[in-house]
Amino acid sequence: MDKNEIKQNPAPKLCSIAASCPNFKEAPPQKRRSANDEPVMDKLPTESITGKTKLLIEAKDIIRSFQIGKDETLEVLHGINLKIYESEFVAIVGASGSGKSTFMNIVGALDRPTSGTIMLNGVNLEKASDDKLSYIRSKEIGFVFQSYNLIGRTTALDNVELPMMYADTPTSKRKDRAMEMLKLVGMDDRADHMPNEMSGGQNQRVAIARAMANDPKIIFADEPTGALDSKTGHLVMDIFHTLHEKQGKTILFVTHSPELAEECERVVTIKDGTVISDRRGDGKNA
Amino acid sequence: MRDNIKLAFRSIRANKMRAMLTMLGIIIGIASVIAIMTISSAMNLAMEAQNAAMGYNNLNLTVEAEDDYDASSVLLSVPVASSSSNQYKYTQGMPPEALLDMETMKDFEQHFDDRIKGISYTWDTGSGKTTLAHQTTNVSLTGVNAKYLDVASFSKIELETGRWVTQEDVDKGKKVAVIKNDLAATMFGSSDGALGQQIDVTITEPNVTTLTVTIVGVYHSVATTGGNILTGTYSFDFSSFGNTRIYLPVSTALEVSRSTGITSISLAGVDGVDLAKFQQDIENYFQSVYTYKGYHVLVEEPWSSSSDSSDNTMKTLQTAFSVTAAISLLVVGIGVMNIMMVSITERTREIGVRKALGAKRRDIRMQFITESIVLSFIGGIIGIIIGMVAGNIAAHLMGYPATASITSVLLSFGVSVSIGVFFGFYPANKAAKMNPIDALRYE
Repeated sequence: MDKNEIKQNPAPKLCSIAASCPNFKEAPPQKRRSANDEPVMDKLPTESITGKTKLLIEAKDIIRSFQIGKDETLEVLHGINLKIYESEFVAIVGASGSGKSTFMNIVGALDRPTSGTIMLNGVNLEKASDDKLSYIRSKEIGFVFQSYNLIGRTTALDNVELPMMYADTPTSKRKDRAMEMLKLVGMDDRADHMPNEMSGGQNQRVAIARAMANDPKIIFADEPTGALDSKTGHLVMDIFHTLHEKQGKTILFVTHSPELAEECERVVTIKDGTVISDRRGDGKNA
Repeated sequence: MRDNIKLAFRSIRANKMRAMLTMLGIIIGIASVIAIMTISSAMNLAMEAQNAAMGYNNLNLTVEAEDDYDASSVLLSVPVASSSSNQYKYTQGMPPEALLDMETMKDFEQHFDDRIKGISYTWDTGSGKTTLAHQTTNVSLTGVNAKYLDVASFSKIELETGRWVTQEDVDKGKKVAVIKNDLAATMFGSSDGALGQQIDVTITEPNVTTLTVTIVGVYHSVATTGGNILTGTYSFDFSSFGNTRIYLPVSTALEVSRSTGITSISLAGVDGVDLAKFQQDIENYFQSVYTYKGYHVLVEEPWSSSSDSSDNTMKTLQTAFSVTAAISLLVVGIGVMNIMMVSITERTREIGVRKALGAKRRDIRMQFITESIVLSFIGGIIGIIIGMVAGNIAAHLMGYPATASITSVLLSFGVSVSIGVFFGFYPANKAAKMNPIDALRYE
């Protein structure tokens, strides 16, 4: 079944590896959920549901509120608790305005919670300085955005080299590593192309290569397929699967698409600033 | 750093038009400063040259009685009537020991060799008469040395034909003379006709003496067209009013007036010499070598007052120039700051992405400061080149010599880089302090 799909998609070679996801076969039979499902907070699991045990991220009672107007504040996250283990592929789903992006930004060391604690690979993020957060983003985290966010008028290769510049990687090593990463996403033949000379899918693959440049433990992908058609979206998704399976990357994947979410090991649903379900994914094409 | 410079060039290339307009501001600012400085230093040079030509670099040395020493009583005590015992009569009222002899002056010249451009010893013998074929003309005799003509400011005369008094004439006390062209015309018909002719010159002071001299050269006076362009001062030669001056070797003049030394020396300092210090040094020098009691060597700046006023005018002009320059550089700086503010606002999202990818505050700050420095540095270089060319063309049109001031070039480099740092810092710091999330969400 998987192989048929590959034949239909004349994608780069690596996608052949990406397509197989052994975990979902072991997924326990679960009822398909619909949007009408009631919140099941009391049923949230407290132990690892993927069987992985090395704790990487631990969010405790995360509250985030924003100042709107003079004396008014809006609480977006109402005390989220979530543990993410190393090498998990976690989909975070939720409607627009559910707070999933806000939560992701806090976990990704881009933003700070109003209250609560967040540990990332043993570092307490809410207490770290701005430059310490920069350092963590540089070494531990790779970001992939919905709108690619490649630096304009800069070649694919230079874009991939960028995180290495901030990680103080010696200039001599940057180019080789960048080419290696571009090869991984099948973009090595476009190394000298500018972002505006490439398609959306190609831009996103370069962005993934850039996220991988400093060999981070965690990849945060904020709706990476949101701006892509479904065929290209699947292709990008396959790359994430490859990174997860072959390199053991921990991937946090924010998406609107239930179909893509189910492909993942674990699906966390956020609604109105609260986690309402945390379960194993149903698997591809389930 | 190399990465930052690369980034800066990329960013400047990406917004060529805007970068060029900003640079144009820097170019005009720096160019005008350089042009103004070039013109001003050219004017300075021209003024110095003019000062030298007008004798503003000159010092006059005179032997004079001390104020607290009653020189008049010395003079009064001398029995003027008795010519045989009155030695002072031959030495312009001074004891012969008080005079500066040629030996002393030779040492003096050697001591200040590096600062003396020209020196002239003169000895005025007073008025006399010259007679040829029953024509009598009143003349005044001046003893000079070979260098007299080298310093244009000493006298407004030019040699018309023949030669000037030579060192040999002075050394050997030759009886030669250089006379004025109108005297030559009156007595011999033409200037050339006068050469080689002999004339008798009779002086009445201190004794009636007749001297026969051979004419070796003829001079004519040059109309005094000089004067300082800023102060409008003019010089006139009053000393020979009504008389025609005849120049003799100084030794011959001393001999005819039976003197052993001189009382008056004029010298010209080299261009750009610190005249006040030179004056002080000469005074100190004579204080140690000139020991004759009751007299001292007075060193005077003949043009000090007018020189001062032209200095003041120049200083006022330079202050005005500097203020103008400072204002234009401030405007340039504000231009740079403005464009950097636009640049970081426009690239807020890029800053967010860079921060998400691990850029620290320092990285972002350095990126934008480098960009601002590169911008002002390139503008600065172009500005310096244009400014030097424009300044020298303007100086040339105004009739001043061309100059290239290394100091002003280095200063401008420094200033343009400082503008980059100073006016780039605030925008760069603002960029560095951006919250990555806000920056990423910025549309």
